[in-house]
Amino acid sequence: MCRFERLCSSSSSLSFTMATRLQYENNCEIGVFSKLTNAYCLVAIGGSENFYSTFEAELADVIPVVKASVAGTRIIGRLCAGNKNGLLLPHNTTDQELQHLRNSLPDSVVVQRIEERLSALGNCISCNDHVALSHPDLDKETEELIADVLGVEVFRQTVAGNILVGSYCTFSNRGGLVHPHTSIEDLDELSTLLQVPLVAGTVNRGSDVIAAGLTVNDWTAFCGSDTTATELSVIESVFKLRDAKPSALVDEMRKSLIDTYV
Amino acid sequence: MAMASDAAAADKAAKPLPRKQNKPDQTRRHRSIFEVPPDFFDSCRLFNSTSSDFETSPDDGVEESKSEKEVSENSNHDGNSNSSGKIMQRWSCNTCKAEFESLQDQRYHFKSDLHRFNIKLSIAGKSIINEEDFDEASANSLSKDYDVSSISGSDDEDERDTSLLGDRKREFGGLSKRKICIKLKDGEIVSVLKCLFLDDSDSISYDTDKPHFMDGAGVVYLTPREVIEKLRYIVHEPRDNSRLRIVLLARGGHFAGCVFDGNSLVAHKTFHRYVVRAKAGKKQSLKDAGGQAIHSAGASLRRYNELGLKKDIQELLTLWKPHFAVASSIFIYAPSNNRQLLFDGEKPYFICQERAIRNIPLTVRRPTLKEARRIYSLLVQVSSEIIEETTPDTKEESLSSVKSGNHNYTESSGLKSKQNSEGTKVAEASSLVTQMDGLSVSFESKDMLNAVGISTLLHEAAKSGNVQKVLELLEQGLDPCIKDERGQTPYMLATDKEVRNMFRRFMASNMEKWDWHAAKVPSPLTKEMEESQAAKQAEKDAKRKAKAKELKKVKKAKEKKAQAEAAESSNNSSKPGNPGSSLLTKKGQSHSSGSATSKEEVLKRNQDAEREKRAAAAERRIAALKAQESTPVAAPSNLQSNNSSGSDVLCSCCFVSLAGIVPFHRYHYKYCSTPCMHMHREILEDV
Repeated sequence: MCRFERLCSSSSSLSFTMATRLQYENNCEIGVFSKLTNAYCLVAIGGSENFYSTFEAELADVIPVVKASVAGTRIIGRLCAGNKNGLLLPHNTTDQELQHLRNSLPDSVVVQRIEERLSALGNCISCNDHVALSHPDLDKETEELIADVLGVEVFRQTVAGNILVGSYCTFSNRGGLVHPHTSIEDLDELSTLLQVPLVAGTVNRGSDVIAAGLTVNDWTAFCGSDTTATELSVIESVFKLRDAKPSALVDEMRKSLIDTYV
Repeated sequence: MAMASDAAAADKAAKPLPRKQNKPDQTRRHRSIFEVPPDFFDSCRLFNSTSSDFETSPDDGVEESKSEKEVSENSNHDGNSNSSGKIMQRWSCNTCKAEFESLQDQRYHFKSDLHRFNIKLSIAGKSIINEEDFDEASANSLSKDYDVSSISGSDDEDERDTSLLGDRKREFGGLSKRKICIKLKDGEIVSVLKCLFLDDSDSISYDTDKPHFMDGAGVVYLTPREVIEKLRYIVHEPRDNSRLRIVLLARGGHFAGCVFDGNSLVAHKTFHRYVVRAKAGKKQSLKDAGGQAIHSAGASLRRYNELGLKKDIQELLTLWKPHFAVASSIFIYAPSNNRQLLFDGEKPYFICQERAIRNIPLTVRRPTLKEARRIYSLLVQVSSEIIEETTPDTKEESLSSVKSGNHNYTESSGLKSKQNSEGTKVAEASSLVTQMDGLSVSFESKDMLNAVGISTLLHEAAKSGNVQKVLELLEQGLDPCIKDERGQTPYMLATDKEVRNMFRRFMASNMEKWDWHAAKVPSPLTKEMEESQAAKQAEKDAKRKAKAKELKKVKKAKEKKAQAEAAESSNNSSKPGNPGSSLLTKKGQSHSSGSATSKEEVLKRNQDAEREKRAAAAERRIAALKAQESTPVAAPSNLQSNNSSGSDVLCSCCFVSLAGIVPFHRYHYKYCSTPCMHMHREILEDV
């Protein structure tokens, strides 16, 4: 069952939509079952059509929304890593899946399967279109592949002492959310490194596994349906999903309150 | 854990001095050949007893952790002074406690090996190191001391949980032929691996005095004197990078190469390429040669990586040319076709001194820096041996000193149980215990024996269900509280109720003799109790009998009734022919005379006929009853015929007509009520 609600229905002319809350088969960890980038969106196969259609409604006219599986599983968000330049798949991805993804994604996106011992690439790599944080134990060759395929600078770093950087932080080109236990110093360091503003926070009513509860690109975000309004407002502000101008809100209100100007 | 003791070995190698101070006997047992005093091998002789069992002392983790703590304390100190002196600036690395001039510097740092290394250290809960230390140590044994394996490439090691002690034992078990035992001047016996200073083809002749001769097969025989000369030469070797030892390990896409000068690491390099395809079953490269090359993407990746690995290794070997030139021995582990990585046919890819290449006679795990160091430390190890002497009592002594008291205990308990099963008396057993007490170390008292595992005769008897024997043994005074090896008392072992009762009876009569609670006997069984039980049982039996009788009676009565009714119904069923025909004739009559007679007349006649019929039926019924009483045998057949042909359904038990009521069904029987059903069932079962 997939239940979702649009919190703030923005008018269709607005390019920035607010965060959407949804569930995957009654599970709030939607980041596990989907992968959202600026160039494509992958959705786990086999879920209810509602999950897929939520993404499609939001994204279909901009980027392709592709139903996919990785290594025969639905946890695609945790197994693959990617941005608008490319998509990295773990070694256990089947040839059919690889072919399907190559066929469905835009030609500009390089789809690459990598021979890395750690197969949950989504948990080991966190990236936007310019920089990536990686698990310190990844092979040197993998690191090179990340840099080549995704076109990013790769930094080996931890987030609040966790080596699974892909799980505990999420960032787009506009901002990022990291593990709630990240110290101020680390936050500063990370944000200078990544060159995006970062905020320590939670999703899904206090879950610290940020990337599992939240999937985000430059203009929209999807989060688990347990996410509270406070968390949502933090997400929207740090990822700059609200229109930056404060007058936008007033404009919108005016539109709904006043029918016509005299 | 293997890792820990590896670290211990490395620690030993790196810092011989503190180790020696802390644990003299430890170093006495295993030490590197480069650590022994220069006069170590003076006036020693070769000990020709290679069959001795190799005993290694367990590495103690306390020692290792202590030295590790020292290291961490030192570096902690450094870190503290670092951090207190500096304030966090904008471009900084919190992990490495460093700050940078520009974003570029910072970014560069985050990609550096130092940063990665420090992250690994901090995750492992260790203190970080600063850049200067890293630079000067990177060529040396840095990653070893910090227990983080090589920074480049193949660093993951599948750790096995088997203790290194067992590992070592196994390794050395088959090694006795590859070791040389030496009796030192102070009588201590030490052993070194042959391959440390002798070629694989070299052999030692203990019987000949001819120095250094070669037989037809090219085997060089050395005299003990020559061997000792070689050993002394190793000890006196100058440590100026002119006598290097190189370890090369290659297997499964992993390569580790280390150059050692004495105990110090001069250079090392590890590679890892994916050349083993998961789940492929066999080496895929075998198929490449066989003409059936696999053309999948993965296979081409593998081929590429195989070439890459070979190229990497050869580049390294060229780079290390000066090292190879001065290497006194090169230890190689490259099983099966991994050998192709290092050898071109018979000729190696590197140029070295003649007869310097040795195969490693040890079990080698995945080639990593750590493993290479471990192998090297084993290769150059001088271990003291415990050699069994000729007299058996000293052997006993050494045995008891090596093995723990616990071991001794089980051994002797096994002995005792054996004695018991042979059928010796308890007294004998206890005397045996006292004998053992005198003989060995760990017995305090007989009570201790009771606490843990000895199977007694009583156990045997109880298990076999021999009531008489159990009683006998109990009367002889055998302790029912003794637990066997599995902690079970004889009572628990008893399978038979009679045996258990025997225990309880004995308990009732000897309440104070034993701790029956400990013997797990639940309650005593007195005579009165038994009598009352028997009475109860008898009563029960009588009741049952009475019930059965009653049931029989009821059954009989029912049968009779059934027969009677069956007969009656059979009479009824035979009726229909007569009244029908009479009616028909009557009707015919009436019909023939119908035109003349009036309606009333017809009615009257009918009534008369009816009356007649009834009278006839009554008569017949009475007759039938009489007939039935005289011939009861005929009834069942009647009944059956009635049942099968009966248009009206009857209860199978009481034969009441079921017309108008919903019958109870059981099998193909039908009943008027549930009591009927139960009754009938009982009847059927009894039959």
